[in-house]
Amino acid sequence: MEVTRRYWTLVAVGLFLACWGVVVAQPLALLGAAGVAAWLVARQFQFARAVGRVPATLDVSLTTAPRLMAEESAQLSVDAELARALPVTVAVTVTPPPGARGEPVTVTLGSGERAAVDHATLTWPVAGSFRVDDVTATISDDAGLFGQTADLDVGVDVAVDPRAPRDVHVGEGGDRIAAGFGEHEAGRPGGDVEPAEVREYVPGDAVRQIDWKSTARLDQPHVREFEGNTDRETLLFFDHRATMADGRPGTRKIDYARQLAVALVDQVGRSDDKLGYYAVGDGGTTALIDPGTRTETWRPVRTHLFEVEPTCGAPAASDPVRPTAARAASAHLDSDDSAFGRTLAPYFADRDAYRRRFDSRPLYRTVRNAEFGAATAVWTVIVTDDADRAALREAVTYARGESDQVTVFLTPTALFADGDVADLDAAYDRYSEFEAFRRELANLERVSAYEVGPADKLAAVLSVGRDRRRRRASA
Amino acid sequence: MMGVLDTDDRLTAVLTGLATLGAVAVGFLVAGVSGILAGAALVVAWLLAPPVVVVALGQVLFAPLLPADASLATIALVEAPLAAILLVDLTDWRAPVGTLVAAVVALAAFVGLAVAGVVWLDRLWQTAALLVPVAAVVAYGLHRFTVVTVEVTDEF
Repeated sequence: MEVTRRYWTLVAVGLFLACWGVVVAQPLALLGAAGVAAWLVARQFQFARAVGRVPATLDVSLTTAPRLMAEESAQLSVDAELARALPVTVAVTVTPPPGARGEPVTVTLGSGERAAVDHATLTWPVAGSFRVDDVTATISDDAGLFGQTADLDVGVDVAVDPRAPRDVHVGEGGDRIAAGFGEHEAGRPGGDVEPAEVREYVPGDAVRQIDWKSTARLDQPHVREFEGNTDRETLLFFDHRATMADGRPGTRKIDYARQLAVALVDQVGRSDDKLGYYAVGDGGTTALIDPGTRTETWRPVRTHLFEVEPTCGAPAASDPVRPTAARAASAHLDSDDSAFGRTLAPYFADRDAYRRRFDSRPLYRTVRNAEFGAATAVWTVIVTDDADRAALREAVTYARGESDQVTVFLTPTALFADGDVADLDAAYDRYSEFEAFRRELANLERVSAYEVGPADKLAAVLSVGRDRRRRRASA
Repeated sequence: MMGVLDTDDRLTAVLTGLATLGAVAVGFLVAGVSGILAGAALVVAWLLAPPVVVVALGQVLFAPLLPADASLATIALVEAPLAAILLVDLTDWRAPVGTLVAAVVALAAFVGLAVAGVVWLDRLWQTAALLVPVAAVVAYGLHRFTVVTVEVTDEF
């Protein structure tokens, strides 16, 4: 219990009366001192009795959004109710936890009041699990003499998820892919570790395959077969160059790419395939985790994916001329004796220049320098955007030669440009170019290419195409 | 806890005002014009200061006005309106019985202790020396009761 200056002032008044009564030999003043003492004690008794009733009668409930994303704000409602009116003022203060930004909210139940509610807006900048439970009740009497603060055992849990897009579209040409990517059959039954089935013995089966328990139970020789584990290796190339920062906070290219890559890594982990990981920034390879089993690589890859942010690098150089085009131009220039032909001929004569120029491209360089291993099946997954198409095309071509299957997940730049509905026409044109490029990749043998992006924006962009077709049909 | 000019509790203000007017009347009966002047000072205090200050001031003002050989009845007459001010102020009108009982018990206990001290002890300072520690111990006991009730462990 805390006492105020006013209390001490009245104590001083009582002491003054007692002293004055003694000094002037006046018993009446002592009666006055006794009256002041009685008044103070009675007030304190009333306060103590009211405070004693508060824990049993005060009901505080906190309400807020139980789950939200980092940097989101949510209203916190504090509802305080007393089962019966008390002759004290009860102020319930809720202080936000360290993980939240916002002012403390105080609900005050005046003397005689039974219910009150107040709200505050809290912003949650950090992902994690939090509990709003710093709740205190400050009780004070009407006379302003006493105060008491007590912690209340109430709270509300808030789960704050990292900012991540919720409408991830993975598909081809606007159509979602139905099957989960990365899933595959383990293969034909063999002699490995996972039990598959029990079948009747046939001549030629090894004696060690006989399952004696089944044989005893079924009265016929039976053998147990086991599911064969694949020796499959997945190499994930994750692009986090500066262009992956396109888009608004929380819905950038890299946010969608991250969502997809994490899902992919989880899928690979469930399949018990080996997983290798390369992160590509503007300066080249920024992280490398050698292929390993689930226990070795799953967690570090996942952790890196959650932490990785776009690097700040120079924009990619302009597309070089493709080799086939260079060869055609060189052949054409060989027969061109004009000044124009003679000037340009040296630029197309050096056949190695093309590859050297790509060697400066981080994604291509990383893929080219990667160790594709000696597994029976290598699956290469490239998660990137379409900003540097030529380099990506060459990287895919190279990876195709080194692995059994290549899957490319692309975040279309057209879907991440800032702009309003008026820009949808331009976005559709850019998306059409992207789609042509994606198909070009997908048409390569053993290559699959998918788009990854915001479903709502993609739907809006595709609606422009439908409108155009409708207008053309009606014209 | 302020004077009636600052309080919202109209009922208590009116009742303490009536008790103060009673003190003015008693002052007139006991001391004539001087008593009225003392009563007027109490009215001003009632307007501006808390009731307990009105009571303390009443003790200071009325003590010199009483004759040296004042009877017990006269003293009781003077003290009655002042005690009424305290009782009214201590009564919570939402639960008048409980608080009134507590106020009466507290007043009776402390005034009884003071009277007993005046009657049985030789010197007034002994009564004062008895009164102060008793009030302090009771106040500390109530403090501990509150702390235990709301389980404020850092105040144990």
